[in-house]
Amino acid sequence: MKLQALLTVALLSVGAGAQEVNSSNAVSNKLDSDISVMDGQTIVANVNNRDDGQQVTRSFRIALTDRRGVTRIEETKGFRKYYDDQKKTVIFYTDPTNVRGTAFLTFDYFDEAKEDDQWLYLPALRRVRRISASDRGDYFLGTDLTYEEIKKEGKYDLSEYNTEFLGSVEEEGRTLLKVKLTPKTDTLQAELGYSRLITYIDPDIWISRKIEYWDTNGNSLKTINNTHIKQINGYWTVTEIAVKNHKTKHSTKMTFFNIDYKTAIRDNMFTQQQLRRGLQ
Amino acid sequence: MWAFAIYPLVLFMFCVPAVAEVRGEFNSKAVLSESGLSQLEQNLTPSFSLSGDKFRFYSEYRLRIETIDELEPEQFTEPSSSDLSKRMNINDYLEFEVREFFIDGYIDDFFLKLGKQQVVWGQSDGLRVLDVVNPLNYREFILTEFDERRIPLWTVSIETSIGQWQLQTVWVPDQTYDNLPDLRTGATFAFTSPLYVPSTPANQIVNLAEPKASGKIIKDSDVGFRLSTFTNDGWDIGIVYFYHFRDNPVLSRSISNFDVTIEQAYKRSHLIGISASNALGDFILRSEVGYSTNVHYLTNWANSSVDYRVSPQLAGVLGIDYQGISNVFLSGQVFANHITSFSDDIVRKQTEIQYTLRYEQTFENETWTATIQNIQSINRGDGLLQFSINHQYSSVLILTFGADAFYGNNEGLFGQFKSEDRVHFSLNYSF
Repeated sequence: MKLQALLTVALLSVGAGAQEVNSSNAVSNKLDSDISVMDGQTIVANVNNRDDGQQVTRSFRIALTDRRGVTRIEETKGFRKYYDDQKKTVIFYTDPTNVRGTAFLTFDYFDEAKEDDQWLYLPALRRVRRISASDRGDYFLGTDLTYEEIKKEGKYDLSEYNTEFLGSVEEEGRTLLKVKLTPKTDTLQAELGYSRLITYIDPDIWISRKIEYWDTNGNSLKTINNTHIKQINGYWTVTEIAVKNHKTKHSTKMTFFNIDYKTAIRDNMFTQQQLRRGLQ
Repeated sequence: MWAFAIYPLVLFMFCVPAVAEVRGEFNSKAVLSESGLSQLEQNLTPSFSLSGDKFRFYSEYRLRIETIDELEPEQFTEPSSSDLSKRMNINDYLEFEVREFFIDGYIDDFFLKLGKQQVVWGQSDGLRVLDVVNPLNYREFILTEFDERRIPLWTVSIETSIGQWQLQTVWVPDQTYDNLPDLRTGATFAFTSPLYVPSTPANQIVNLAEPKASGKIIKDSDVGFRLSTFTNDGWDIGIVYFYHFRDNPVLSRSISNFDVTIEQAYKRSHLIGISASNALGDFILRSEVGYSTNVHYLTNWANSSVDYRVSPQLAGVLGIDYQGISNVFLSGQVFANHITSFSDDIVRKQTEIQYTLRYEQTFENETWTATIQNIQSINRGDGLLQFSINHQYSSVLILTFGADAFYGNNEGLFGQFKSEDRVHFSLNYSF
């Protein structure tokens, strides 16, 4: 299994519903409904503050379709849990056989100054390998999502963006808030791999329904559609994500299932030993 | 074969209710060398697992069909393997092997893994300092994946936590050692370098005695432990101790009249070592150091009064991985091995140094992977250059094309095989 590919899936598991806030700060789904007085910062802050549970267990299927229409399918099972100063995520590949046993572990620290720690277990090596967490704008697992996008799950580090509220739009019977985010510096744009994005946020649940990206040359890059969103155990959860890369014509569809926010996850699930042992 | 009978009983005790699963891979491989088609083989590796509430049973097997039998000509006897770990050599072209066969699971805070398995320690890729629990099969020298070369052993492994540390203890009663291709049968990758094969006078008849395992399961078993932790500043630290028989035989002469018999014996050693790794931005630093006692070194029999010298050995690896370029993985390692009490009649250098370089790049949403890898001896200048390109055609089908080229001094570890350059093609189907 390729390194970058694994990173992507691991982060995807952080995926639907994940956020960089202490989940104990539960907030209502409609945090600030007075849209008329909102600016871009407030809207994105509401998205960032959405509660996504203390822990979650989920399986997900990834369908990767190339420009010829050939589709590869991979399946994984992931666990995510918040701690005081960090979020821990572990992913185990379950299918197909040629990647089964591959596992990924990440410690995502809330302290922005502290770099995340990541490990990868490759069955072919039988060894847990330390990997770098610094390549946030890279595409992983052959998907069309970057490490950063999957890790943030539609959330944004507001210190890195200029925001602009572009107004409300009607799409499929819903009122969505259209917000433009522009990385503040050329360096950030290069790191993230795009020059700007426009996100369409549903103010009823504070989740993006659609995100459009432009590359560093200003050309259309890709579109992410959160095609299925539903409430599970009281938490709004994206259960299907579709991504179309307009440059490569490659697409990614991720479907989440067996989502469980209630069952406790033992702490030793997030260890290098568990990566070697695999799912029990 | 007692274990094969006992395990099903254990399964019934611990694995019910259970979920059964059958999986597998089929690999077909063709190799072209200077002499033409030199390897044509099919490998079927099915696995069967049974997962219960508390325990899991896992087993994996390999059926290999060799249409061309040059790697291990004739029916091999595997004198370096214990009876329980020998492959079933059905005929010159067909063999069957139990690759893994174990039960694992938790009892309170202890994780137990009992049965035929692999135990992998250390931080280096392909260079062995601390990764010494399992012996290796040199059937294809070092040209295949480590997982394929490592010989699983019947082992008891128990893991638990002690504060912030994780402790793994292992007991290995299985007396199986490195499988070295037999020079007498003309095996393609049989060692010929004087670093490994002693020279004998031309007017003497030389016999090679098979290595003998003692058969004393308890007394001659290997034992050891690994302590590991993750520090607050991001370091992965491991401490290893292993009391074991080294996996390569010590050679000595037994002379009678004009006959010379070369005896092969395995010798015990204490290994103590430490490993450390950390991520530093785009770089990953990996390191390990090991100190071994009672290591036996071959002497130059033409000039020496003794067949071997004994000395402690200090070995270490320093590796750096770079992941700062999208879709590219760069890695370099330096491996040094030092004889602390050196004698001039030892055939190798007091300090042997090797380096490895690896460049890997993926394309087209990682459906294509190109790899270039080089390993070279600093002392002799000989080495191995490998290239491969791998295409994931579908979720279950992977195609690989590659080339291996040896170069340098005939007397070196790699140079001895410089007439064995090859290109290879393989197809891997999983189910």
